[in-house]
Amino acid sequence: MIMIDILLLFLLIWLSYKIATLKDIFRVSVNFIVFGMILSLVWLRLGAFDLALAEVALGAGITGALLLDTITFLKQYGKDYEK
Amino acid sequence: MKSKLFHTLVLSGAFFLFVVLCSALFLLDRFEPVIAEDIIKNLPYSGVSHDVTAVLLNFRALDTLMEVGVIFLALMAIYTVKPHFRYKPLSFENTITNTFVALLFPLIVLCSFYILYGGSYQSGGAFAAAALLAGGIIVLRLVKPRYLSDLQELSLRFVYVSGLLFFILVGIWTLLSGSFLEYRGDIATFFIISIESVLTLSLAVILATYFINAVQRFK
Repeated sequence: MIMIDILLLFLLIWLSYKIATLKDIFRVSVNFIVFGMILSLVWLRLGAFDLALAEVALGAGITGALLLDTITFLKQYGKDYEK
Repeated sequence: MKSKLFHTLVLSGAFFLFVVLCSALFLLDRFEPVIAEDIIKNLPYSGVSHDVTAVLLNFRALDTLMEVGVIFLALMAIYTVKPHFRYKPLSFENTITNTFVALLFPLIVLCSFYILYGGSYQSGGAFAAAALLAGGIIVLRLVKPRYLSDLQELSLRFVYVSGLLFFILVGIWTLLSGSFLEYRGDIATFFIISIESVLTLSLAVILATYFINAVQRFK
């Protein structure tokens, strides 16, 4: 079980590095959603089930939908949007 | 060149912060959860049998009231930013998505009610149920926009304020016989379940409006 915890931790750090450094905002948003999912698994391992529920619904679900929707908006109308 | 230097600076700063936080974690004294004993001791008077719900809606109900207020404030901030131009909402109407939403949406509503009621004796509660219901409304909005186009702005505003208003009304009711938001025993169960039900509906609509209003109103 401790191996899974270590794996989750390193996944979190790696994903946060990718979110901070990637150029393409679509990839950043997808990475952010995956980050939310992994974070909710971490809350589960810590025994905070309420937080895990809220994290997976708000952090990964609604925030991810908002980000992807904003990207669609930018693709249609944003002048400074690249790629 | 300049951004490379900036990146290196930010990375080294983040690493330095990481090391400082790790050392602080190891220097920390052993954490004694004294407050947990109080919670377990007072759990029978709280009206619910789950400790997190008891803290959120009984012992620290004022903090939850403030949280709802913050969510409502964010909604007001979104309302002030009027979209300059309306873009065509994404609509994916085909057989697959129609069948998907027809099967999924009732299931999501049922599941969120289960999480809401289960919050009194297991993990769950108003916020998780509201988030789930909001996700369902967003899926419905993306697939079938015209199902939600009949909603009136005025009735929606009543739903927005209903959670906060009901919470404050319960607070005033309890103020008549004690202090603000202080209840225990059987009446506490009634208050907690009713507050959570109203909060779930109100917060779900508010959260879905965050998504929908960011680009276009319900209409």
